[in-house]
Amino acid sequence: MDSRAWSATRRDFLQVGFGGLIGLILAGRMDPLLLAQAKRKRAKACVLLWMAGGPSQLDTFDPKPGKETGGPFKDIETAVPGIRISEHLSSVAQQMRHLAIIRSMTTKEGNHDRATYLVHTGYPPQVTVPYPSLGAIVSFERGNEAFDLPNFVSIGGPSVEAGYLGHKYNPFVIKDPAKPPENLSPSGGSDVRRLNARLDLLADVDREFANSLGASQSKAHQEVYTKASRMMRSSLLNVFDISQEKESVQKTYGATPFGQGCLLARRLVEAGVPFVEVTLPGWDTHRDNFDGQKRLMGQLDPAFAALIKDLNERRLLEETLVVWMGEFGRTPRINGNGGRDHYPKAWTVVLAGGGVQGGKVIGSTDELGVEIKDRPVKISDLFASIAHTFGIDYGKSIMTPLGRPITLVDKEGQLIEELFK
Amino acid sequence: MKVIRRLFIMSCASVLGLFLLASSQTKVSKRADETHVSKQIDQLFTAVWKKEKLIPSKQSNDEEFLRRVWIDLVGQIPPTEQVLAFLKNTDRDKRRKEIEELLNGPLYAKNWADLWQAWLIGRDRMRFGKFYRNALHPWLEEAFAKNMRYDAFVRQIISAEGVSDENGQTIFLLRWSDSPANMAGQTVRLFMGVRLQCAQCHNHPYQKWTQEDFWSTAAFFARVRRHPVRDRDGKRRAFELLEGRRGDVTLPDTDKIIPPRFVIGSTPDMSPRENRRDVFAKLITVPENIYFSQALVNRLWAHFFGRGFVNPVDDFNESNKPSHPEVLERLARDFSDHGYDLKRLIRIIVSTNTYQLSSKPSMNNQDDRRHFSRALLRPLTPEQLFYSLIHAANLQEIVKARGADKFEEFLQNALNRFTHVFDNDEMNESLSFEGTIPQALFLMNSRFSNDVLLAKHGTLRHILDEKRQPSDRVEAIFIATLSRLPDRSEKQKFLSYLQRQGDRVEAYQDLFWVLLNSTEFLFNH
Repeated sequence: MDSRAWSATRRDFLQVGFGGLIGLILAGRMDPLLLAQAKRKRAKACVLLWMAGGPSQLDTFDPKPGKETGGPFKDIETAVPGIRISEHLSSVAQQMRHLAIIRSMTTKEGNHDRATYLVHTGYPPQVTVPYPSLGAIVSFERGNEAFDLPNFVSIGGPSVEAGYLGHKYNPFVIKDPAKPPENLSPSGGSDVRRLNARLDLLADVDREFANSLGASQSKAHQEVYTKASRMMRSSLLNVFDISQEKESVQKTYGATPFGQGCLLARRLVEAGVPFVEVTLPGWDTHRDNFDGQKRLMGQLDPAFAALIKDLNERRLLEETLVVWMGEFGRTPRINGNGGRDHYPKAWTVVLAGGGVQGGKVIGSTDELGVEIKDRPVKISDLFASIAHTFGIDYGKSIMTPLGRPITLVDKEGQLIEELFK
Repeated sequence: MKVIRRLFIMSCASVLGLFLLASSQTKVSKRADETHVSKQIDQLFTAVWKKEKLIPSKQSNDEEFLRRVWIDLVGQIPPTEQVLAFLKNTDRDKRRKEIEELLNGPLYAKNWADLWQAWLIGRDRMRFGKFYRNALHPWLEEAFAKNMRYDAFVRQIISAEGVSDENGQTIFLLRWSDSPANMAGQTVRLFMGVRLQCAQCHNHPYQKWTQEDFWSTAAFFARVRRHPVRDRDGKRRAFELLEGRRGDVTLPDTDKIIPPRFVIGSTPDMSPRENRRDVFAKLITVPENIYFSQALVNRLWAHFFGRGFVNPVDDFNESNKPSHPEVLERLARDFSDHGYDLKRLIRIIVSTNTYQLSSKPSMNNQDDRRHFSRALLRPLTPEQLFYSLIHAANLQEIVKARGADKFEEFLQNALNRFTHVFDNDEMNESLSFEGTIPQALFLMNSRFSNDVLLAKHGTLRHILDEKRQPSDRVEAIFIATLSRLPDRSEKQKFLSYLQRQGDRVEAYQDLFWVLLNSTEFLFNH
C-alpha cells in the first residue's frame, strides 16, 4: 500500500518533533456556506463505507439497463420518484430520501494503491509529503485527546494512515467485528497494581534509552503504550461487543462481516468515536464482473440500508455523515472475461446524513456511462464538502513540521453546494 | 599394480593439494578484494561527512554490533552464550569471523526467505495466503542456502511455470496474476525499483516513461494462465501457472494491440510462438539495465541502514534522485561485475565502518538521517520480533519439552497469528515506528506473552535456578533480552524494584516483561 511507502519521509517529519506541529495559518479561502449556515447542525462523526477494489457504478448506483455497456441487471424505482438504482439494492432504494448520489466523480488514478491513497487523502501520492487520510483529519480536527477509545477506527481493513499529522491519528484496526479486540486485560492474572508497577518501570527504561539516543521513535512507542493502557482500563469497552444488540437488530444488518462491521460502526459512533471506516473488499472484478458485483451487493444492501435507518431512528443521522465510496469505478466496456476493469474517469459516490440533503442525484454520465455529461466532481470538491459538514475550514493551512504549509484540502477544491440545498 | 595405484593416489592427492592451495589463495585474494570495496565505501562516506561537517558516531561497541548483525543477517537476537563468548573473545578479527559464521550458518537462508517472502508477496491475508507461503518459503530457503545468483533467481521467478506446491517460484506471479498490468507493475517495481504502473492510465509529467511503455511491458505478461489444481475429493490444493499460446494487451479504452517491448535496451523480434516471459526474464537481467542491480543494492542498503539511497526503495525516478549516487553506483557495479553474488554484497556492506557505527549520536550528528553518519533506529520486522521473542524466552525448549515433532507446526501457527497482529497492511516495508495499539496490547497482555513469561522450562526459570544473587539474575535477564549488560543505574533501578516487590518469581517476571516491551528490544539499533 502506498501509504506505507511514505514512512521514511514521515519519520523525517517526526524527527523534527511534534512541538513544531501545527502552526495554524488562516488562508484567504473561506467556505462560502460556513458563515451563512453557522446555525446548522454540524456532523460529529463520519462512517466511511469503503468498497475496496472499485465497485461498478453501472451495476450499482448509475444503471444503464438495456444499453450495450449496461450488463444484465435491471434498475428499480426508489423511494424518491425518478431516481432509479440497481435491482440488487432494493433495501437501499427504500432509504433513498436520505441519500445523495454523485454520478459524476472524475479522477486520474487507475492503480489500486495510488487511487486508494488519492480518495482517502484528497491528494495524489507524492514522495515528499505524506498526506493524512480522511479518518486522520477528522480525528485530528474533531477527536478528543482524552477519549478512552481510539478516535479513528477501521473495521475489516487497514485504511490509509495519518501521514504528517503523526501516528497518534492512525487508525485502530479491528479485523473481525464479531470479536471484541483481543488482549484488553492483562494476562497471567496480573492485577492493575502490578500492571501499573510494570508500566512505571517501562517508562523509566524507555526514557533512559531515548535520552541516550535522542530518538523520537521512542517517544512514539511510549505514546502508543500509554493509549493502550488507558484503553485497557476504560469503562467503554463493551461498545465493541455487538452481541449485546438485540438479535432482530443484528439480523437487519446481515450476518456478514460487513453487516457486523456496520453495526459495530453505529455502536462506536454512538459512543463518541468520530470516524469509523468499514471495508467491504472484493470489488475488483476483472473476471465475471456480474457474479461478483451481485454477490457483494447481497452483503452491501441490507447493511447499508440498516445503518441509515438505524442512525435515523436514533436521531444520529443528522450528525453522522455516511460516505459510500471505492477507489474508482469500473469500465463501461465489458472485457473478454466478462469482467470490467478500472475506470477513474466517470464514477459514483453516495453520501448521506451529516446535513447532506438526501433524495437527489448530482451530475450524470452519458448514455453508455463513458463520459461525464454534466457537473464533473473532483476528489478535492468531495473533500471540501466533507470538511464542510464538520464545519472544518478546508482552506486552512497546516504548518507541517518541516515548515511547509499545506492546505487541508487541495486549493482547487470547491464546495458541492447542491449537497446542502 | 599396487605401486601404480599408490602413485596414482599420491599424484591425485598432490593435484588436490595444489588445487586446495590455489583455491585458498583465491579465497584470500577474494577477501582482500571485498575488503577493498568496503574501504572505498567508507572513504566515500568520510568525504561526505567532511563536506557536510558531520562528526560521525563512534564505532559500535561489541554488544551493539553483535545484536545488530545477528538481527540483520539471521533475523533474531543472539543467544546468551553467544553474547558472553563474543564479549570475552580478544581476537581482533572476531567481527569478520562472526559475519562469516552467520553467512554460512543454518539461520541465514531462513531469514532471507522471510525477508523476500514479504517483499515478493506481502504478508496480507489474501485468500490463498497459506497456499502461497507454504510453497514459496521452501523454494526461497533453498535459493539462499546455495547462494543462487541473483539474476538467475529473478529469471526463475519471471519465467516460472508449473504446479505451485512443487514450484515455489511460481508464487510471485500467481499472487499478482489478476491482470498483465498487475504482474508487470509488480515485477518492475520490485526488480527495478521503478513504479512504472503509475503510467498505466496516463503519462506522468515527472517520469520519462510513457503510458505506452507501461503497456508494452505488460504485454510480456499477457499470456500468463492460471488453473486451480484439485485433490481427488475436489479440494483446491494448488494452482498451476502456465504460458498460453495467445493473448495480448490493448491500450485502455482502445482496441489498439500493444506488442511486447522493454523500456531498456532493444527488444529482439519475437516469433508468435516465442515465450514472452523467457524473453523478458533475459531483458530485465542484462548488466546494461543498471536499474536491476541498483534496485537490489538500494533495497539491501535500506535493510541494513533503515534507509535507502532512494526512498521509498521502489521509487527511482527523475525527481527522486539517490542521496549518494557514487556509493550506489560503486556497489551496483561490483554486484553485476561479480556474478550477482548476494553474499559478497552483504559481506561488503556489513564489513564497512559505516555499517558498524554506533547509534549513539556524536557531538553534532543527532539530526542526521540522510548521510549515514550514525546507525539509525529500525523497528524489528514482525518475523524478527517473533523469533527474537521466541529465543529470548527459550520457547523452543518449552515446546520441545511437550513433543519435538510439534515444534515446527507450533512455530508456523504462532508466527501466522503473530504477523496477523503485527502486519499493518499489504506490502509493509515500513522503516519507521509503526507500533499500533493492538500490537502494544498483544505484547503486554496476550497469552503468547504470558506463555513466554511464565514458561516452566524457559529462560527465566533457568536463570532463577542457576543464579542465586538478585544482581546476577538481573544481569542475566538483560543479556537474554537486550543482549548486553545493564549499566549501573539500570541495575540499581531493577534491584530496587525487586526490593519493593519482594524477591519473588512474579517480580522477576515483571522485569522480563518490562525489557521485552521496551523500545530497545523492539528496535534494531
